[in-house]
Amino acid sequence: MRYAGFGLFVIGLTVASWYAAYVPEGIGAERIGNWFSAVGIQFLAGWVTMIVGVVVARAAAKKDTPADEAANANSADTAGEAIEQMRLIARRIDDIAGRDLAPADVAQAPRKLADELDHLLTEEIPVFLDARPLLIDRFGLETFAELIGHFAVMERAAARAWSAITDEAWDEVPPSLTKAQAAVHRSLDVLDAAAPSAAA
Amino acid sequence: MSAASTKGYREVTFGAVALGVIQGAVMTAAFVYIGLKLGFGLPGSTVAAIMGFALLRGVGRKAFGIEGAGSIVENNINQTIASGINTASAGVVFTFPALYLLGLGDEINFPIVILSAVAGSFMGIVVIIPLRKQMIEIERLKFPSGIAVATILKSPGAGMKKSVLLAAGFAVSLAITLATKFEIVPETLEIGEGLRSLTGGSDTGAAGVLFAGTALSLSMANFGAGLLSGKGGLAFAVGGILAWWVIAPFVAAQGWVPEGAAGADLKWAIYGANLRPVGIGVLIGGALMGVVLSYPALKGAISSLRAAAKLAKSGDASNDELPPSVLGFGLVGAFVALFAVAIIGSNGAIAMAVSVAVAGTVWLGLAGLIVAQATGATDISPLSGLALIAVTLMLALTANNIMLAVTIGVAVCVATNQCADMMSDLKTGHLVGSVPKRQQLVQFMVAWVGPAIAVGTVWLLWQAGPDGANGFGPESLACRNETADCLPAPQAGALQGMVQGVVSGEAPLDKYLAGSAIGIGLALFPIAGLGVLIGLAMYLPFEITLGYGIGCVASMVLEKVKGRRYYADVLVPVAAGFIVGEALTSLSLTLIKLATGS
Repeated sequence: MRYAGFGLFVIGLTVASWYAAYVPEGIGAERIGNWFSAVGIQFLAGWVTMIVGVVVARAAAKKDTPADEAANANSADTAGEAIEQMRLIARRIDDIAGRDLAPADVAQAPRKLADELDHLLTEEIPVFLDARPLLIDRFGLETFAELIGHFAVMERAAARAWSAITDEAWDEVPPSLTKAQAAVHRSLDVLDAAAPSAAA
Repeated sequence: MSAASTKGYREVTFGAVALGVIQGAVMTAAFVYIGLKLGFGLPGSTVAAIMGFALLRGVGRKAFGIEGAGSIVENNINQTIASGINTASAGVVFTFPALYLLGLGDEINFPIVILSAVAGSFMGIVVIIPLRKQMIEIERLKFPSGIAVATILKSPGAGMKKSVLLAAGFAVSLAITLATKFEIVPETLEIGEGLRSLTGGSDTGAAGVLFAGTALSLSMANFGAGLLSGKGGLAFAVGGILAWWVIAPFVAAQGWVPEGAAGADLKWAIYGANLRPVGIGVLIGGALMGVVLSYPALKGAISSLRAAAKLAKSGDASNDELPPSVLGFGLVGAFVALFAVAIIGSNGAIAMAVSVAVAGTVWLGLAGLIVAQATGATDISPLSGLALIAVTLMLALTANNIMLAVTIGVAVCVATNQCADMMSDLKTGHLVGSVPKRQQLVQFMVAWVGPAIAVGTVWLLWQAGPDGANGFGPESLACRNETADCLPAPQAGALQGMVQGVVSGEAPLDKYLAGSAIGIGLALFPIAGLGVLIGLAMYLPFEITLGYGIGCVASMVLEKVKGRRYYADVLVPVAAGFIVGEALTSLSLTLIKLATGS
């Protein structure tokens, strides 16, 4: 069904684009009328085909069952796995922030901490982010927007901690990690409120 | 290991603000001149970030001994301010000089033009408030230049390997840019024309445009943007194929082209009369439907802003965001400013002024959305097309009041450019841990500087003509005599031509309407931003979309073969080097050319 919808969409887009490009005689409103008289029907046929294709493709996408999702099981290929990835990220942040590092502690082994944060930002977070469409399908756009808003605060705070380590601004690191921890837990609160069955 | 720092983390400092303002002011004046001379603008963020390193970090720490000077987030504030001021240069240069070329120089009301440009500058920052959450946090658009600047800012801590890769990308880009500028290799590889020569194919009809239209730009910045975008930018490349391998051959085969057009003439005729106007329509329709479809996300983004403000008020968290009330004030402020411009420009016609202010404010918002989405996915901004639509719309609403229409066009152009720049800067800020509210507040602080300098520079250059006028334009003395100080003002010339065409009824309204309908359909397809990406691809020559598309495919293949880590560890620094290398090399060569008069 999905491929049929996609096929109709492509055919319709092609036909509509062909006839959209026709250059009629005349100026102003007369020009629009001349365009429509010459190629309007062909354009509309293409455009309607395109819309039908979109409707079919969207309907087919909605019909994807959880079994289909599970059959594609791979890293964060299902909404459940994306949620689990988010909880993993939260546990990482808890682990780092939970060490209760003082600025002097950070100064003792800055590179190790920076590498942990870098790993989180460049490897673990992208896995979760790639699964955004699944979470939007599951929770709706509005709830997802709220969830990701807090998640983004966590990301920025973690990135700020990394930058502060690079700049040897040790004082900035602990409060940034605390902020990241608070933010990711607010994100989890939104998740848990939206889907109690997804709670750990 | 240095002792633990006991001072606060340097971010919004006097040094960062002062350096940003100075760099921004100098770049604005310089880039206005370059825009009038060469017809394109140049991005300021890269230059400002590198200068920030040298001055804030290098001189600040070593010469002045300021502990912690030139921190990553401080340098981000410097480049945010510098590029924010500089964005006015392109917005003004694309529109304002057209008033002189149209013979209306003596009627210009300078305070009103500057008010319009300043209103646009503020509006561009305001529109970003909900769009930032939508595009950077929810849609996760790449903003390749934003990533490139973040890579530069983070280079001190990125490790030797990434720094070497950044430098290697820079070196390759420098070499290729020099080679193209000195014509050792062509800027564009005419692949199709080469094939045509080998096969003896026709240069007319469908075959002719297939051959003539298939070319590849050797821009490393373009390729680098594709590398950074990966799968997310593929729709843009597909749009190029649709435009040049599907639509253009059909147009030629049907004979909808000037009689006898062949080769490159055929290509550019189809581009100008058929593809580009449809592309502009697709952009508009795609953006409009995109707003409707993303309304829940926009609503969620605004709720999230309110929630953050509430949390901050209760002391549960600091607020990193500007509250939604700023958006409200900003929209009202923009409306009032545009109304003031319109009421003066229309000699007190209240109904006209209201319609112009409403349409101008709405179009400002929509254009901001289009350009944010376009630059987010591809690093390319359809600025001139959006300015063209703004002026066309205003001409219709003002009964062909050219002065008023172009003045409002200045606001739209400045706002649009401000949107693109601010979004890129906020992406950089997201990646380095800057507080978005601070970036937006410093940008508000200096939003008036760029428009004033840009308008003033254009005026000065006009006055520099032999009789105190005609200092630029194709009819200026320098251009007629083809001397080195000729400033042809090509973008303003294009707007002049368009205005004259619209006033005589020749605007391709049918293309805009049909394109909009296609854009609406594209936006309904379950790929985010498809309408804007396909529209943008139709709006541009194939050599640009093809180069970018090759970058996207290369990125996808490499990430699949080498793993996700490869993207962050190798592709990002190399691609950043490509983007930065071309920007700095082009800028340096341009300045040398201008200084030596060659």
